[in-house]
Amino acid sequence: MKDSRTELARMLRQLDEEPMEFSWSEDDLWEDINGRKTTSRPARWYAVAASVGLLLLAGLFWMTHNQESYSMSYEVAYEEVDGFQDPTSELVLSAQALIAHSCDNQSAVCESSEFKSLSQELAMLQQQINSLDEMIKKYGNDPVFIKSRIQIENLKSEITNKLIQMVMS
Amino acid sequence: MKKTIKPYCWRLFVIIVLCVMYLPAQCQQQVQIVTKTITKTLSYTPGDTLKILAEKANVNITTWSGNEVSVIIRLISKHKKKEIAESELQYLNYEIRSEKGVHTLSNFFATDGTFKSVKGVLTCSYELKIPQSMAVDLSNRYGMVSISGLSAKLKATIQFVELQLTECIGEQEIQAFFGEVTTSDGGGTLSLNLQKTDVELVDFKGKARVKASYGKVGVSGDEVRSFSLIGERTAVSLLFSNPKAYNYDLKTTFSKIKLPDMLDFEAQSANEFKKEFSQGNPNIRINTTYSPIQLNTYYNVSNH
Repeated sequence: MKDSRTELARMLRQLDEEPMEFSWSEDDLWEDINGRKTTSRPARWYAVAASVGLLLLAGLFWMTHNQESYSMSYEVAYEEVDGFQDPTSELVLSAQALIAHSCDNQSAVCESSEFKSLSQELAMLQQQINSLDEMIKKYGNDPVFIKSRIQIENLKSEITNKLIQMVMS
Repeated sequence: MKKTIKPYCWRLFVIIVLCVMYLPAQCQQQVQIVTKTITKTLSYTPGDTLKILAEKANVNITTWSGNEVSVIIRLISKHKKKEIAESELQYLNYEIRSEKGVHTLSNFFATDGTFKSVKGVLTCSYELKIPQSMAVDLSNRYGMVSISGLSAKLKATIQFVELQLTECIGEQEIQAFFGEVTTSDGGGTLSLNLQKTDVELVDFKGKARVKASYGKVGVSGDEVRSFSLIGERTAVSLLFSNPKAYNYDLKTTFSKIKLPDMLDFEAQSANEFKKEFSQGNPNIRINTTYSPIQLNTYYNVSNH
């Protein structure tokens, strides 16, 4: 134990006394550094250029991926034209007049809850036709509105018919 | 003889061709269509909702395996003159906004105070591809909506719209005022609130709860899990290949119930039919007024 300790101390002392030996000379070192300098500069610039390029690519990808893009296109088509007429004919108006007239004379039927709820429906349908007219002003006379108007008018005539049956019975 | 007939025939042929060409030209009109197309891809994280606020639009939603939302919005203006079509396109506006997991797409009409009415026709269309599990909350007035393959929650509020759902199997909540709703191969739970709307549930495989007034409702399918309807002036028709696979509680006031002959069963009265064919059968419950309930059968090859 003691032997190995003195041995170790001796070796340490020897290590301190011994001069450091380098496997290269100072001249070689400078040459080496200079040489590296000349090769490392472009390499660094390449790295900067590459990272900028990558950033640009990533940015471009993000832009195209998340950004809205829009385009305009023009075409000519041939479409069916439908000269749609307001179906509120004299017949419908006279039916409404008939209901109103009948209600002036005989109030019993007109006071019934069914008659009242049907009359309310009829008034609501008229409101729908008014709002449909507003939509046509904004978006033009498109077939989708004509279809909607037909739906409303069909229900209107169905309800008008029921009301007439009630006042006539 | 032949030489004298030939030019005569030729002339007749030309006249006929001209007449035929003139006929369709009479009811068709040349229209200039100007379209502005907006494309955008939105990122999706599970739990996100797609909200659509549409007006006078055709909305088409399909699902895909992609983990993104692909949006194409087309703003379309039509008029005989290109300049007018082009200038009226400015009234159509759109917005795409993403906020706190809700992606909102909308189109709207905007103008200054002096505006009276458009000369041409304006339309908007949405072409959307979304992940299957993305919840959709949409509203549209006048137009069309078609959705296919959605398994997430759908909420739709529509007016004067034709709605078509294909293979949608999630929770579906639909509020419709005038229009048509058709579902094919649908499942999940369907909650319908209808006014003046015709509905057709074709090959329905889920549970449906319907509240309806002034309309027609049709249901078909051999795998309906339950169907209940409370209606006012709503006609209902049921079409099953094996009507005994269900239990019934049907009632209509001031109208009649029509049962198929093969059921070998008489209704309690002309307007009421209650029958439990088997304890585990799905229930069909209907209560309506002033309109008939019809139960029809058809021959299903795969069942016989």
